[in-house]
Amino acid sequence: MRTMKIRVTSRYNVRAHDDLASHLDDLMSALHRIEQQARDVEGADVAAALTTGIVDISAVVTADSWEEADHRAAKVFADAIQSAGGRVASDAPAPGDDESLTADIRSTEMVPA
Amino acid sequence: MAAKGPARKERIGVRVEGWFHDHWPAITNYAGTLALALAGVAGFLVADQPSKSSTAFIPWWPWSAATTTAALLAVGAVLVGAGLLGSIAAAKATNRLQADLDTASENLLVHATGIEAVLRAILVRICTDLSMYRDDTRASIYALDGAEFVLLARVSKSPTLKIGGRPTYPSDQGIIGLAWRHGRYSITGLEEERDAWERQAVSEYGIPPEIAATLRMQCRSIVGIRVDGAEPELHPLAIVIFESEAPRGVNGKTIDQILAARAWETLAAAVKNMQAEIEGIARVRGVLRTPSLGASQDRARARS
Repeated sequence: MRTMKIRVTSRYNVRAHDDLASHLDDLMSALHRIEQQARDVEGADVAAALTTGIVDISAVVTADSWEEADHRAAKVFADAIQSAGGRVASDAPAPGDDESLTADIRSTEMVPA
Repeated sequence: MAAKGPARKERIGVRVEGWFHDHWPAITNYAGTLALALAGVAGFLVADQPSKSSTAFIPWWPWSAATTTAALLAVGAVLVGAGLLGSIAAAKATNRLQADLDTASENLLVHATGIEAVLRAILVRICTDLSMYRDDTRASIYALDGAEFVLLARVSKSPTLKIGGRPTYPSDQGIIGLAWRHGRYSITGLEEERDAWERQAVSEYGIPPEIAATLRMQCRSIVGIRVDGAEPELHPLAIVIFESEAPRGVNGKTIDQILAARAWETLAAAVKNMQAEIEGIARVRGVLRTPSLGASQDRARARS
């Protein structure tokens, strides 16, 4: 396997999910804390369009596969959301299962090494 | 600055020479016609005043009216004849070139259809191996021609989804452009409701509204993988797009599976080996703007 850097972006609709919008600063701080502690996560960012209730969370994950990057990012984002006082959908299965990805939309793209 | 004057004159000279070379039969024809018209005027004067036929009808003109008429008739006939022969020769050359062009186009289209069949066969193999040869999924391969992507081949188990759509796709629109820029790209969870999906395509992926409304497949997850040339240049050659109508029908995991598939290696090798042919086909397809290679061939057959 070749180690890759993959930017994963997850979109959350705060009207459909949890109220992330009111926790944006806490969310960013939580992501930065994870970035400092984890060697495989960098470039975390949060972009919010409060008028539409859309919050995009992204991070560059170093992984051996796209699946691993996808799951790692899902776990990082879920941890950050919980740490910021938000709540990941309680009826969702554990991160790691494809069906557990609670974001409305997720995109992944290759980042130049 | 001093060299500009002579160079410009030379360029003008070359252009005039080229223009004359291209149009000499017509020029000769016009000059001959003018000479015959003047001969007609001079002949009219001779007929009108027969007594003056042997004298100069213009004070400074050295020849008599009869001699002038005969000379103009002779020059006119020669020029018109030469122009006619030149036109016939030019028409023959044009017909030969057109026949060569038609033959080359037909050969290229037959060749293109063969390449399309190879690419389709490999795409079907990849989809079958990964359980993606389904009614709700399709795979397409595109090549870039200038600023537009041209569809080379498309497969789907669904007869509707495998129909070719637009003949060309602007490189700055949609997921194809994103995948081309990033090399690998996946997106999942696109809108379920058609109106919202079209709005999303317009606002987030730059698809024009009138195009979004006509898109046949409402794909909700897409994966794009670029095929690059050999190292060290890694020149991008083609982009393969896998689309599914399910929100996570294709995803990041699919990229891992595709890249690990043996048939993917075959596809990448085929694209690299047929690079020149694929670029040629993309150029011709871009010009013909037909929805599929088969359609181009059908059109060529209908013409012949």
